[in-house]
Amino acid sequence: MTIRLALVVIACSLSACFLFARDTGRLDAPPTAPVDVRLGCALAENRCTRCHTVDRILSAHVDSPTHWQAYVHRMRLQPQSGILPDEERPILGCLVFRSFGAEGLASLGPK
Amino acid sequence: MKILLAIMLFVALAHAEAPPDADKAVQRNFAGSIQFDYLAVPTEQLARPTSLDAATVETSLKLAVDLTDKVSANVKMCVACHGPELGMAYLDLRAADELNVRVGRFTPAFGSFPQRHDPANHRTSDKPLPYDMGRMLNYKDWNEGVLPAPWVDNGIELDGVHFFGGSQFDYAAYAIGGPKGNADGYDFDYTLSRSGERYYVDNNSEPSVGARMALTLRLADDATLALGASGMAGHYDPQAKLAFWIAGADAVLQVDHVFLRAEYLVRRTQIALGDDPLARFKYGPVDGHFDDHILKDGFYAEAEVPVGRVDLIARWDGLRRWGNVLSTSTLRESSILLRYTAAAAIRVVSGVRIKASVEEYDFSDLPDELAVHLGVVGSF
Repeated sequence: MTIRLALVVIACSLSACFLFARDTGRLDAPPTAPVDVRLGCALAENRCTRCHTVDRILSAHVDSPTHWQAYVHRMRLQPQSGILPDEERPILGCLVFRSFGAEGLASLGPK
Repeated sequence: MKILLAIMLFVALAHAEAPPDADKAVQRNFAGSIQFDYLAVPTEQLARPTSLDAATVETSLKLAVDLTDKVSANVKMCVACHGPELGMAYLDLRAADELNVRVGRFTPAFGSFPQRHDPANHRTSDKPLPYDMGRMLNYKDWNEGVLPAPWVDNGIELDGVHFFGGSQFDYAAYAIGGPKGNADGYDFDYTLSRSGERYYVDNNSEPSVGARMALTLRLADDATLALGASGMAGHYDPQAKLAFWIAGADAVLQVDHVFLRAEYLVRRTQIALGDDPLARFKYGPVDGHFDDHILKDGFYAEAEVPVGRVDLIARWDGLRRWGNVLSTSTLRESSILLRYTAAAAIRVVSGVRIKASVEEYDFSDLPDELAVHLGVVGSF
């Protein structure tokens, strides 16, 4: 009975995957993003998933570019983050652009 | 009621009004996760006497506050099988990248897995056996893993990171209350570490100490190899006479989004022989002498491969135990458990995954078992 129930739930789950198929689950840069932002997003996806899923980034409640700045800095200093000091800015660029667009990115000042 | 109050507190803090202009540096991050998991044991008619089967829910709510660029506070509440607990309540006082002082209640740096212990951060429903916290089958016979994760304790930790070239060096050294046991200790008694009646304080006026070092090497732009070593030692009984030490080594290889992980933990624990060891223990003296130590070790090796929206995981883990056992124990002087796991974590929609796994348990002293996990985890 338990096995049968499990199989039904698995079948429903797999169906649900197709239902929500448009959700890529990637840290995609917006189509208008410049090349360095796209590279930053690829970098963020590689580094951040060492410790947690991309969903943690996608669901983060961040209200300003400086908020992302503090967040990314704190994450870089986590043990085994693998985020080198010169990678902090590209990752930040991706996250700020995704959340606040080119204007938000500009508000961070020069690289 | 306690849960409700805690949730209200978290929500209130997370939605507090924006700080005044003079305090713009203060940044708050609120995050949480919920995992519902159903554990079925098809090889048992009634698994509950030996396992925490059926449905379990693990919830965590975390608030991180950057007070300044040098000071941050973290508070995390967890609710799982044994009710609400504070998983984190600490301050980080950072003088430099290389020197941070952490004070409060936290998980001391030991091993690699505890960094990913949150159910939303790792892809299987349960934890590797060395870090098991009650979800393994026959957990009472084995007294769980080597060091259940997350290990949460009061104390102080010095830690830091140093970057050089393309690599990263991490260190941590800490003093914490440490594991607890009774005066007639036979092993750690984990219930004492989460008992309000016994107080959330050190049980023997003597801190346990530990340290960790890790090196993360950049092999290529999308490939890293992280190596770590950890240790912890102290006394666990109220009289501070029964000693223990734990050592661990870990390695994580990341190539693009593929991960290969391996860890090994070993713990040597002194036990109280008591007034009548012949009656207390299953095995008699050797050369007229009772050995008053047990040795327990555990390992896991796993591969995690993403295929589209599905993460596939294959894991091999195990526990071994050497030393005398109580006369009532089902284990022997030398016992082994090996487990083989095939798992998948399917991303259904942003923040929500379905976790499914099949585990085969190969016990040296107990009947082999099959376990099936099916769960849903969400992060927010």
